[in-house]
Amino acid sequence: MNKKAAPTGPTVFVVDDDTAVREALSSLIRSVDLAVETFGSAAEFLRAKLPDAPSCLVLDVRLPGVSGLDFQSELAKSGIHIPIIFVTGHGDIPMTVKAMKAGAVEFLTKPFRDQDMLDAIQVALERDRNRREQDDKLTQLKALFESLTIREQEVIGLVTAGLMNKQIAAEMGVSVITVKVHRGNVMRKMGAKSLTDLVRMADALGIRRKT
Amino acid sequence: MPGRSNIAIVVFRPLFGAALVLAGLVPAAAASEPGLVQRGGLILLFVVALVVQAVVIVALVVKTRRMRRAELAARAQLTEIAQMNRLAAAGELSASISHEIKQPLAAIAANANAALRWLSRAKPDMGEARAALERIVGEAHRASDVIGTIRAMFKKAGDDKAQVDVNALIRDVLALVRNDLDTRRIAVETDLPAGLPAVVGCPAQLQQVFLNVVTNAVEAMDSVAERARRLRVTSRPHDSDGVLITVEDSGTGIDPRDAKQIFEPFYTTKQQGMGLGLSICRSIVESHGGRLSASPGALHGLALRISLPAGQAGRA
Repeated sequence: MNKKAAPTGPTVFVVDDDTAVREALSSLIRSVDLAVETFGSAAEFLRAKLPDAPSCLVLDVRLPGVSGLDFQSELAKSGIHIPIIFVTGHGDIPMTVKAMKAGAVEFLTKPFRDQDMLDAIQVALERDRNRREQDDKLTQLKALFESLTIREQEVIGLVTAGLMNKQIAAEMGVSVITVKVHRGNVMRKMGAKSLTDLVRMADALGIRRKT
Repeated sequence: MPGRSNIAIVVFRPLFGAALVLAGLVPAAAASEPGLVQRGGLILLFVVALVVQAVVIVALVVKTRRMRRAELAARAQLTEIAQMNRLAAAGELSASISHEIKQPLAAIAANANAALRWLSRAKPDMGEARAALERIVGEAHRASDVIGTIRAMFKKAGDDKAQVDVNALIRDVLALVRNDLDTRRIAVETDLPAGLPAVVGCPAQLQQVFLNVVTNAVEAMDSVAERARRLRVTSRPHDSDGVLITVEDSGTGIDPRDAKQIFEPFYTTKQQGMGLGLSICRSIVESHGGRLSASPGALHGLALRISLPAGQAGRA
């Protein structure tokens, strides 16, 4: 549809089968200086390329072909974690509960208040921004971990498991001095300020050895 | 059940008869041979016969009552089902109406909010504001059209009969589902020649029938991706003074073996459906003296034919 979204700014995606509702939403969202892309169906949205920027999805529950709720779980299954704001003409409580349990940001009934919609969009974008930051951090952390030598990687697992240098030395069959050197290198290369910091990193990476 | 009561009658009637005969014999027997033993035996037999008779009578009465009660219950159930049919149809209709009206309302509200926001920016954007206001006007008309169609639908509700212009009715319904057809990318072909005889009937009911048939056709094309989605509606003179409406779709169609079944109550191929739509449609059409039938259509999908006689008062 209209693919004029700035590549870096946050983008709001709108999927609604009603052209008039789509245009109105697009205008409303653009009026607060956010980029918008609109789609008439879930399939069209899937064909679009998601930008490398915080984004969220405003989704009509009643869509031709697939229901909004089914689409929500479909997205989750294929690993697309875009925050969703549902809009519906006739929402009932079970529907709302189901959507919210599955992680929807908000469930608005048509006609909705503009402030409610824009607030929900802000919350959703913030949520996506946080998630992306977390993802970025993890990616960075993984890169740092990959830059370690095999020995250092081994040491990080043992240190964060709470083993003393002596125990680590015995386990690896090296001297305590060597362990201390590896340990110093690990702290420096990973940019860890303390052992607690390193433990947190090891947890995020899932490499902490279980004792 | 009646079989069993017949058996009871067949078995007990001779016994009862014998008892009567014996009872009649008692005074005679007493006169000719006043043996105490014989007399006691006869009386015993008489009493036994009386008891048997009483039991049979009670059993028959109870049975009859039970049957009557079951019959009443069955009749009440039928009424309930008929009521449910009507409720389901009304529920479906009101859900679809509220959706049709809420869409333009939502668009109007959002456009108005957008226009206000464009105007109250540090540097007001007149172009955007005007575009939003123009959309509001369009949507207001759309909402009004929806309401107009619904009003026409209920104006002559119930048993009111009127002259119905079949072509106008078809156009009204297609206008009502226009948005649905657009979003689903369904191409509509109509062939509605002028000069068809007017049909006498209940406009609201006939509109409901046609809306239902069109909605079915539209939904039947949901899964169609490899060929064009086409809806063809034609009207023709039929049987000297009647009208024949044909609704064809390029949907998935049905197995010819199921062609009869689709009119049965509670038969459905939809996930969310009670399977009452077409059965209600059929009874409405038949109450107008017409016929509703289905067969494989020329567009790959299904063809539904609604024939209605002209000028008949109907019995709805």
